[in-house]
Amino acid sequence: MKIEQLSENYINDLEKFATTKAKRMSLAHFKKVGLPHTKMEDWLYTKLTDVLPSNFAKVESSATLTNVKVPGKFQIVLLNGQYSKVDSFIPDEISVEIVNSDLLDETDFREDQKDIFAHVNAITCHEVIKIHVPKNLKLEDSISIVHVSDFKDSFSSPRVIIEAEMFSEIDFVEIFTGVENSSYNTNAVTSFLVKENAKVSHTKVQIEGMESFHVASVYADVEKNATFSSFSFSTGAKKSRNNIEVALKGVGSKGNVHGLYALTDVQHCDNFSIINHLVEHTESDQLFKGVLDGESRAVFTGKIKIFQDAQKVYSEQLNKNLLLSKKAHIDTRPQLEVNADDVKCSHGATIGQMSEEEEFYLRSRGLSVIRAQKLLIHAFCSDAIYKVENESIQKYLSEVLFESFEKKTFQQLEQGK
Amino acid sequence: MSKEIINDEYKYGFYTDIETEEFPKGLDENIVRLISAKKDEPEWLLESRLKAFRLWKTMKAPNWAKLDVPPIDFEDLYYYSAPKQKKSVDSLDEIDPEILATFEKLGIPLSEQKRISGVAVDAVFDSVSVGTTYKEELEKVGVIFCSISEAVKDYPDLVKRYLGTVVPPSDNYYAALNSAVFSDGSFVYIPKNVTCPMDLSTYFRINAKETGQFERTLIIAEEGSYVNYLEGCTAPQRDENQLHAAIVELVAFDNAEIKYSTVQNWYAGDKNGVGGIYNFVTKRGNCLGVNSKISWTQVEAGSSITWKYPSCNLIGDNSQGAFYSVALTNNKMQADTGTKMVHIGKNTKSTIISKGISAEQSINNYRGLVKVMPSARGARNYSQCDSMLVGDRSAANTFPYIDVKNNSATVEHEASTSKISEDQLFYLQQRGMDMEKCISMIVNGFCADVFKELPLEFAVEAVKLIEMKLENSIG
Repeated sequence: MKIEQLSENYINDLEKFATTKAKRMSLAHFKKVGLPHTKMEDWLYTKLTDVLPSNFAKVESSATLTNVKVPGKFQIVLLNGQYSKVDSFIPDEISVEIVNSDLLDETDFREDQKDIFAHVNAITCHEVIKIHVPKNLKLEDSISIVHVSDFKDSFSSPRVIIEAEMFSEIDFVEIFTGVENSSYNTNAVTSFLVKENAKVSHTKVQIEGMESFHVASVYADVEKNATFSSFSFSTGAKKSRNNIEVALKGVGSKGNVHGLYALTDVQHCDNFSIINHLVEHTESDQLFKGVLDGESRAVFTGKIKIFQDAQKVYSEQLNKNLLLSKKAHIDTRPQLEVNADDVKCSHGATIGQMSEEEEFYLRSRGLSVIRAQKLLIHAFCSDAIYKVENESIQKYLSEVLFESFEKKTFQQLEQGK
Repeated sequence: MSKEIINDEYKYGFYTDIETEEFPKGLDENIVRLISAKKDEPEWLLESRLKAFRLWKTMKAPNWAKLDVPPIDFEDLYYYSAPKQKKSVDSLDEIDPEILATFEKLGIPLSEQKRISGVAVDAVFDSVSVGTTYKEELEKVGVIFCSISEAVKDYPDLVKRYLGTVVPPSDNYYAALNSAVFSDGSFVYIPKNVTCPMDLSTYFRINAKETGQFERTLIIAEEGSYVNYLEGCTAPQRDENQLHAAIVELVAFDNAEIKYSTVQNWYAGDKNGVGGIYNFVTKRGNCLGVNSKISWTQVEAGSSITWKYPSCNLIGDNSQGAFYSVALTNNKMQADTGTKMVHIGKNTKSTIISKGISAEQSINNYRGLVKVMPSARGARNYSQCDSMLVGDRSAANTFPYIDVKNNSATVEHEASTSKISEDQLFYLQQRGMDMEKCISMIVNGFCADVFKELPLEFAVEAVKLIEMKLENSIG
């Protein structure tokens, strides 16, 4: 089906969901822009017509939680975008509020949400999870937000709003999973407000079923001297898209936007990130790494924007890709937009295969070819994973990487493909 | 020549008052036919012009570049303007002395007595080529160097075979426009195994008011040949904007090498951004043969708006492409420039070195594509794009696009943006140098990787040009 036709279908279906003023505003925007297509600069390399459901009928939720591993002891569970109280386990210090989306106004749906899917989420989300982290709270253990979906012919539309008060320190892990062999869809939005001197990390783990389509937007506003660190790990879904937009709004704020994608078969993963340096003395760091096997394809777009008068900015961006097979395909666009002169920015991108020298070195130490290659792939990925500060999350990511990617790829290596 | 360049104002901003012949303003099929008839062109060329014109009618101006281009009224332009002269010029003595004087003033001696530099020059004045030097000497070794209009007459087979093969009219809006109305330009043919005995050069001058300049350059390097080609451009200082939409096509066969260098210094408008040339140029080279090599070196210091991406299609196995660029913008200039390297053959290699200097309220964008096709096993690319900001209202953007469909390719991209380092300034100043000298030394060092690729005379000129442009930018 053509994208224009799909947009038309969606408008008809979305009308039924747009019951409040805020939702109607998002609908008006959707009517204006329509579904994204490859003529749009931001969607240049990701075609959606083959994965989007043909309409937007409302279907009943049926997802159940089946043993999803999480790194810490706390978890908040959403089944097809709806909060499941029985499965959740929340620390007492933190308040979690479940709000019917009809009760929300425009200020709750962030005004500057740029991606059209975030608007679609605003119209179709049922409940909004509001998490409030109180002042000075420093939580050792991470909190996992587990999304399980199996919504067909529509999107499960979870929305999480997190507000971290002054001087709080907390780690969130958001896990997206669903049933294998089913073409379901997820469209999630997670937004953060990181207040003065707070330190918040967000690790997104996308291990959706291999037939699904996944799109997620992460927004963060970072205030004075606060730090927001995002890590986006994608290894599931047939097609996926991550939108990450970090606004460094306060002097001395810092944004880390890291990620890893490990893909096989015909998977397609598109990472799109924007880091806005709005004021002076802000800092950002970005490392995205990718391993591509089979006929997989990855897209990386990293925009770093330094606004006028945002002097004394320091920013680094790097995208590294390892292609394991002949048919793997990567498009990368690391972009810098600088409108202030007293800044130090650098960016880079590399694309390559396993280094013969490195392999030789390992083999000269007595490792077999296969062992050496396994080690190199693992080391390449670990480099990105180590960007996550929390060690238990690091360990968790390594396990997920092994389960969902390395196991299969290594097996193929052993069989000589 | 280079000493005189150090002037605050645009030195080449004068206007030569000579009698010209112009076609009426505006663009329609009749004008296209008139241009073609004026040049006595064969039927096939007229046909291809008309086809391009019809195509252009259906196209839209590109808007993807980060440029603020005011709408251009294509009906308010002269598409052909030429100095009035006798039917054909057999020797340079017959050229209007006013024109000779103009080129003399620009530092391009056309009279052959003055064999100072040993560079063969083709001088293009508005829409026509007014003279080419050293023709006979070049002919001795079989090199053809003449204006494209002459080539159409004298070597129609060659022109017909290659014209539009690298940049077809359908390539983009301005390419279609150029293909319909191109007036003149240079034609170079280097036969098999010939190393061109001297550097070839074309000098473009826009003189007439309200005209667009649409020149077309075609360079063909046969097997095992080598040519070094230089290009320079200036225009009078005017309050109106003028359009310059050129096409340059290069073809290199087995083991051939083409080096193409440009120093672009069109009038850039005044401090408030009034006037200046719109430089919308399509330049592309096809490395058709094995081991062929094409390198683009450019110093972009003029034009109010630049939209230019000299590119290489690396088709032959082991072929190499290179792009070396210094782009300087000041006042309210806008530049969106870069390159495209398309790797198609095996073991192809490309190098991109781009240095952007952005001063005052200007915008300087690097936009580049590196594309590695599945067939390009073992392809290699290295890109480096550095930007320097001078002044807190200037902007520098980097938009690289890297598209790799092949696991045996190695692609690296590096970029940095910063201002002139305080440490470096301090170091030089404490050695007793004044501020201006320090800055010019640092800027020269910043651009050194590119300047060293230029032929000597051009390198000297380029250094002076950059110094002059920055003179008033630094407080």
